[in-house]
Amino acid sequence: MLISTTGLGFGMARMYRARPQQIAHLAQAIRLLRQDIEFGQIPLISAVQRVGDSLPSPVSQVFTEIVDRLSKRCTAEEAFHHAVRHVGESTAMNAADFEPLLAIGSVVGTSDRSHLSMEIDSALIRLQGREAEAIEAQRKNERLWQYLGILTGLLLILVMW
Amino acid sequence: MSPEVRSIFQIFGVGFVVAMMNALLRHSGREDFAQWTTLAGVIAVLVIVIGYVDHLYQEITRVFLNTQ
Repeated sequence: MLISTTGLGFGMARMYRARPQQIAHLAQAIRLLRQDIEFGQIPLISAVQRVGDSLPSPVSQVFTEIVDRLSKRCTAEEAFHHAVRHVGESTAMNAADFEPLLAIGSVVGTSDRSHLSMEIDSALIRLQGREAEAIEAQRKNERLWQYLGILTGLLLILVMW
Repeated sequence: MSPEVRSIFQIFGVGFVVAMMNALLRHSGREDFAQWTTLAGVIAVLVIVIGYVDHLYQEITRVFLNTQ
């Protein structure tokens, strides 16, 4: 019982620890996507594929899913939404963290380059804010969940003794 | 270990763990959770001692009121 509650506590702590890293990876992915689309002039599907290949899991899975959807003739907006809905849950990020990516998905392929560039700038700024907020949440909650897991296990053992 | 001594250690342990959880939760700004934890600890201790309280009342009744 102690091992299982400790594991749960450490699992929650790991989620808080992973979130800022994953948001940073997402920001890096958006920067890479901008490079490939704006300067490399690579088609969207190849650009997303390259971004997915160059990032660590689980953020890369979101981009792999987008490629999968784009190859099935979905629009970019649908592909981004589908990927976030299906793969987003397996990451430590919440729905609001994916909003900047979805905003890019809604303009990519349907607007001109300057509009896309503005949207990417805005997304990166928003992601910076989300990352700062995630670091603050990590500082407050990581240790708390580790200790709470152990203490809850001890409490249950004592009550059932 | 007799059941009474075990209960004393149990109550001490529950109190200690609940106090630590309370301090942790208050430190991280979750006063509401801290209050719920304290309440849960009080209920847990009540469950542990309720048999002894029942026994105490029966003894008092037997000694002073001679109903048994």
